[in-house]
Amino acid sequence: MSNVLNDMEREIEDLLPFYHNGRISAADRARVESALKTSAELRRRLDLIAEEAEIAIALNESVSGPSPRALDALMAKIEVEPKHAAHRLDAVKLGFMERLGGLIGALSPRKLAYAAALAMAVIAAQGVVITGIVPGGPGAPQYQTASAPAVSEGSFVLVSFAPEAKASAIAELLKSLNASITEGPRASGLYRLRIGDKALPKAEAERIIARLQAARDVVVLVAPDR
Amino acid sequence: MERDSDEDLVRRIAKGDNLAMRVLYARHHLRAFRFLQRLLKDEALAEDALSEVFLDVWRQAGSFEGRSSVSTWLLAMARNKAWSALRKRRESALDEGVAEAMEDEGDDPEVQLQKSDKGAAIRACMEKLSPEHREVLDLVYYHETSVEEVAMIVQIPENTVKTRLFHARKKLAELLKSNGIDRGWP
Repeated sequence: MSNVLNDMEREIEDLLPFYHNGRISAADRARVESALKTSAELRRRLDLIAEEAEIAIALNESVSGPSPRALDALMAKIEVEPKHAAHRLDAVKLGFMERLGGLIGALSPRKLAYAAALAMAVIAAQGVVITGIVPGGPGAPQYQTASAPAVSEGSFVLVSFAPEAKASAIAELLKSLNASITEGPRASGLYRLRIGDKALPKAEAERIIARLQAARDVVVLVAPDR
Repeated sequence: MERDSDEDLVRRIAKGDNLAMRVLYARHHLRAFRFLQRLLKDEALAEDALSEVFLDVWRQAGSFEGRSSVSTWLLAMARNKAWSALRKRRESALDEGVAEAMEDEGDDPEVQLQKSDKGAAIRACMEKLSPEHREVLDLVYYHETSVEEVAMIVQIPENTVKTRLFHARKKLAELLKSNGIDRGWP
């Protein structure tokens, strides 16, 4: 029995490791199987490959994993990483309008980008100044306003605005309710509205929520917050 | 409950989802670590490289385009980290005037002792292969990658993958032969 391969068999030999690991196209598999039927030498070489593969697998499996602390160390590094690409805008180099444009373009899904633009318009209509982008929850930047810094006093609701709602309609609704946006959009697209300077009686809060719910062209979702 | 695909996890990571990061790590860290450790032969270095790989996942998830599977993407990043560490180590060894013998074809006492056990001898000789040859054998035999995936991970043309694999196997056979084990190939 000759252990010399002809050119065609030599070509098939190169495919044998991939035939053995199962990562081969159907056409090549058929070629290999056809050649194996007629070549004892190719069959012997496939056996050698199987022997090597078994040992390579054993060698790899003899490597135990990294220390259990590795994941904690990684997550600690991630915690101190700058926020994600969508958040990582160079506030120093970019002007406000470029920053705003980049921010809106980076938002995903598209609805959030729309919501962000809408929020800008509403906040501007409320007469507040956007001072910068601050790190927020996962996935979405948030806006800090000069006139409404982290408000904790009052009554709040969470709302989601209709994508097709006009900024002027939102501003008008908020004005009629004496409400203002204090936070958002969150990753979920929700905004936090302050509907009262202090904790409102339950009936009063429910009345305002009912009015928000009734404004279906502007608000698609309302939920109490605190 | 339907399990998130790796691609779903990467999309969530791109949005800053820490939990998705933990899940992806749980799925892939062992294989990636083994690949690194087999190349670097140094647990501390392999662990550092693993951390860098997943940190890059966190940083670059938004630019993952899905041209390859996530596991291929991870192995490609791991390979880059490993080779960068290997280069540093080689440079530092040369600086100290130490010639690092990556391959040693001489009759090895370890192999000699194992001649009675062919499997153990193949194992010992496999460990003596160069990192270039070890990596291609590991990728194909253990990580079960295709020609295209090896090409992507190692960044060489597909035909070179086949040639490199052939030479890795040939080198293994030669090492065995020089230690008295003839498998009748090549």
